[in-house]
Amino acid sequence: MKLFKLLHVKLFFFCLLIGLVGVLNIYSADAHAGGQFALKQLVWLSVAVGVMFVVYAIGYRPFLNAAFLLYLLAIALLGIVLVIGVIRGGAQRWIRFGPVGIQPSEFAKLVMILTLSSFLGSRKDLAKGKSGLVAAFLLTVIPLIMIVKQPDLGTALIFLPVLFCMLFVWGAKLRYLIGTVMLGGFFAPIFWFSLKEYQKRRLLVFINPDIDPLGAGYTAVQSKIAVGSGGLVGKGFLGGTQHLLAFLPEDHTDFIFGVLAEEWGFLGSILLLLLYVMIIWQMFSILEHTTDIKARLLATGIIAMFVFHIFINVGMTVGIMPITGLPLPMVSYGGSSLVTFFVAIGLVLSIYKERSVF
Amino acid sequence: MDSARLTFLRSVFLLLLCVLAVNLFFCQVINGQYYLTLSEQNRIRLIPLPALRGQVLDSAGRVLTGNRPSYDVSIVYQDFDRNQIDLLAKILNLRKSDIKSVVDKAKASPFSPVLLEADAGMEEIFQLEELNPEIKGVYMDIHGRRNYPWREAAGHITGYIGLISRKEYENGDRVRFLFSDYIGRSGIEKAFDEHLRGYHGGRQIEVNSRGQVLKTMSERRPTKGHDIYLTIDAELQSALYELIKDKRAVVGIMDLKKDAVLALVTAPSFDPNAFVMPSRAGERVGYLSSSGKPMVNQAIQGGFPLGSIFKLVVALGALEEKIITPGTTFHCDGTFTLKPGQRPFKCWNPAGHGTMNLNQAVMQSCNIFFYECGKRLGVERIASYARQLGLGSTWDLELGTMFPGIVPDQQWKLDRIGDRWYQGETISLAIGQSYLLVSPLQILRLVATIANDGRVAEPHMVDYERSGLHETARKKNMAHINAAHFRELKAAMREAIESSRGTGRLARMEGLSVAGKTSTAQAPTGEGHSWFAGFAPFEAPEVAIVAFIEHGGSGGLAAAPLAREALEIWQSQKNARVTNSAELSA
Repeated sequence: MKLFKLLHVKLFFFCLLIGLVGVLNIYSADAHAGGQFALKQLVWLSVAVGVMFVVYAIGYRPFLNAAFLLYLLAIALLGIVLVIGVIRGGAQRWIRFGPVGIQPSEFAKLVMILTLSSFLGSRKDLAKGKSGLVAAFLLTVIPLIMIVKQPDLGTALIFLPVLFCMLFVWGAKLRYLIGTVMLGGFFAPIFWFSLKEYQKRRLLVFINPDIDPLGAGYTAVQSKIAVGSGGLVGKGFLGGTQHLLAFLPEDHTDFIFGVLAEEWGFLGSILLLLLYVMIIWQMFSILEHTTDIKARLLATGIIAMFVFHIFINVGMTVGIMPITGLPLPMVSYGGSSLVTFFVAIGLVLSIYKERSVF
Repeated sequence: MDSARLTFLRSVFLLLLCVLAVNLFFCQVINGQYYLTLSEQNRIRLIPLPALRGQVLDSAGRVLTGNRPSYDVSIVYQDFDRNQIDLLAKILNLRKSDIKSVVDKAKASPFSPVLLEADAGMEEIFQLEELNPEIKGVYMDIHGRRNYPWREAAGHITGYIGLISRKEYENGDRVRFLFSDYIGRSGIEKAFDEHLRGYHGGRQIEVNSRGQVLKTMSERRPTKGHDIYLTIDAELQSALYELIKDKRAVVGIMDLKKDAVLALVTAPSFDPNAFVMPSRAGERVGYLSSSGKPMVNQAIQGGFPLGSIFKLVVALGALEEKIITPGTTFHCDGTFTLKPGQRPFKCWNPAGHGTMNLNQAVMQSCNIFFYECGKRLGVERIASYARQLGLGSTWDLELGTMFPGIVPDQQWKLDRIGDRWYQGETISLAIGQSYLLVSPLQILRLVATIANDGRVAEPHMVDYERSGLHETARKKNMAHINAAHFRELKAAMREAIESSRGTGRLARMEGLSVAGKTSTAQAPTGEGHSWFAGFAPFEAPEVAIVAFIEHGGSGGLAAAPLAREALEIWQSQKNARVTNSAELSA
C-alpha cells in the first residue's frame, strides 16, 4: 500500500480531530432538540473523509487540468442558484437535489483556487507585468459578483484576500498589488453612491451591527455573551445556556464557535486555534517541499482559505468582524462546506504524496 | 525572493490568529465575569422604537390624518409575577382568563414586551403608575396612534390602515415594518404608504435582576415618516358630507386652474378610526360586511349609466365633424324612428320640443336633436370623442384603484357580448344610455375639460410641491376639437341654468353664474340616477362640480339643487376667507 505509506498522517489526523470536535459541539448545540444534526454531521464527516481519500488517490494534477471546466460548471451552478435557488434566511444560496441541498458558493471557493493556480502557474512569465494580474482579477470577479448577488457578502469577503495571497506568492510586483488596493479605495466611494438606500443600510449593518440593535446587533451581543461567559475553563460539555434559550441563532452552523467557547472556555478555544495552527503549519511545510509552481499556488490558496475562514468566523463571535454566514472550517454544520474543506485537504495531501517525483 | 514572501505570509497568518487569541483572552478571561452575569440573568432586553407615520394635511394645514398619544400596557414574562393577575384584571377591566392567556403567550419570548392592552384609558394608566414600584414586569409605553379627526367625512380620501399580514412582514424590510405593524389599506394611507412610513428604531438595554434599566447598550432612533399635503379643503369636505350623509351620493368640486380637487365626498362612508381602535372591532366587521358597501369609494370605483350629460360629448363631436353648425335645426315632435315601421325612440317630453337648434336642445335636453346627431356620427366616432374627453380610462388620482368605465364600440361589443353592434344602440348611446358606464369623478373631469375649452383635466389631490414629493410631469392633453365649439356649448349650459325652461334651473344661485347640465340616467332597476355637472363662474371658470345621487330620480329636481347648495357653501367659505385676509392685512 504505497498510497498509505505516502500519507501525511499528522495532517490527516489533526483534520479528523477538528472534524470530531465539530460533531461534539453540534451535538451540544442541538442536544435539547434530539441530536439529529450531530448524527447527520457524523455521516457527512465520513463522506467528506471518503471523498478526501479519493481526491488524494487521484492526485491534484488532473484537477488542475480540469480547472477551467470546473470553473464553467461553478459559474453555471451559481447562475442556477440565482434563478431557481432555495431561499433560506433571506439569501438565495441553495440548490435542492431531492433531500440534499447543496450550496454551490462553497465549492466555488475551491474551484476558484484551482482555476487561479492553473492559470497563474502556467503564466509565470507574466508575473512581472500587469496583464496576468488583470486576467486573474477578471476570472475572480465573475463568480464573486454572482455570489454577492445571492446575497452572500461573507463568501465574497473570502475571494479577494485569497486572490491576493496567491498573486503575492506567484511573484506579482508589489507596486502593482499595492496599486490595485489603492485603485479599489479610489472606486469605493463611487460604488457606494451608486447603491440604493436599503443596500447601503444592509452594508452598514454588515460593518457595524450596533446600528441594528434588534437584528444583527442582538446576535452580535448574544454571541459575545456566550463566548465571554465561558470564562477560563468553560461551563462544561452540555453546560452552555445561551444556545439553549435560543439566544444564539444559527448555533450549530455559523455560531458553533460560540457554543464551544461557552462550554470549554478560553482553554478550549485556544486548543482549537492551536489545532488549526498545526494543520496550517503542516500545509506550509508541504508547500515548501514542492517545486511545482502550480502546487505551490494551490497550497497557498487553500491555506489562505482556511485562515480567512477561521479569522472571520471566530472574529465574528467576539465582535471584531461583521456578522456573515461563513462556516468555521470542518467544525460548522453543513455538508457542502465539510466536503469542500476535506477535498482541499485531500489536494494538499496529494501534493505531499507527489513531492518526490522529480 | 519566493521563500521570503512565504515567510512573510506565514507571519501575517500567525498574526491574524494571535489577534483572535488576544480577543478571546479579553472576552473570556478579563471580562468573563461580566458576561457570565449577563448570561445567567439574561439581562438584555430589546425595546423596539416605532417610528411615527407622517401626517396628512389639508390645503390650509389642518390635520386630516394625524397621530394621537396612546398608551399600551405590555408585560415582560421574565420579570412578571403571576400573583399580579387579579390586580391587573381589576385595574384594566380585563377578564383574568384573558390576562392568563397573554402571559402564557409571553412565555415564548420571555425577554421581550408582549402587548396586554392597547390604547388603555388615562384612568387605568394613572392607577398603574401609582402602583409602579410594586408592580413587576408590567410596562406602559406611549406612542402615536393614528387619528382621523374628520371621521366619515374624509374616510374615503384618508383611507385607513390595518395590521400587516405575516407574509407582508416577511417580505418587508425590517427597518420599515415591525412584527405587528400597520400598513395603508386604502386611500392616501395606501397610495403613499412608502412616503408616510418612517424608519423604526430600537434599543438594546441591560436590566438588573429586578428589571430596572442599567444602561442602554445600543440604540437607533426612529425617523418619522414624511407629511403629505393635499389640495382638499377639510372644512368644505366636511360641510359637503353633511349634505349627503343620509343618501347614496357623491359630490366633487375641483379648482380648474390647478386641476386640484378641493372636496370629494362619498356616502355611505366609514370612520377610519374604527380600524385603529381595538375596542371598535364590531364596527369594522359592520363596514366590511354591510350590503351598502361603505368601504367602496363610489366616486372613483363606481360605474353608473350617465344619461343626458353625454349629450355634451355628442354635441362636440357633431360640431367638430361638421355634421351640425350652431344654426342647424332639427324638429322634435316627441318621437324618432330609424326606419319606417320600427319601434320609435322617444323624447322625454312626449309633446315634442318643436324646432330646436343646438343651444335650445342642450338647454332643454331634447333627445330627438341628439338622436339625429348620433345617427349621423355613428358609434365609432361617438366613442372616439368620448375617449378623447377622458371617458373610459383612468389617470393618476393618488387614491388607488379607479374604475375606468366603459365606452362601448363595435369591437367592445363583439369581445364582451359576442354580438354585432346595432344602429338602435347608437341612438341610445347618443343620449348616454346603452352600455356606457362612468364614475362620478370622470364626469367631474369631463365638465372641467369643457370649462377648460378642451384641455383635458387631470384632477389630483396631492400638493406635490408642499409635500416635498417629485411629481411626474403631467402631460397637457388637448382634445382635437375647435375651442369655438366648447364656447358654443358652454353658452348653452349657461342657458340650461338661467332660462326659465332650462333643465338645470334649480342650480341657479345668487352672486355666482353657474353653467351646467343635468342628467336622469335610467338604472337597470328602480329610480334613475340623478346627475348634475357644471362649472362657475361662467365668465371666467374657477371651479367645476359634479353631484350624483344613486337612484335619486330627476337630475333637475335632485342633483341640481344639491349642486347649488354645495356651490353656496364653497362661495361663502371663499368669501369668509377673503374677508379674513382683508382684515388681517388691514
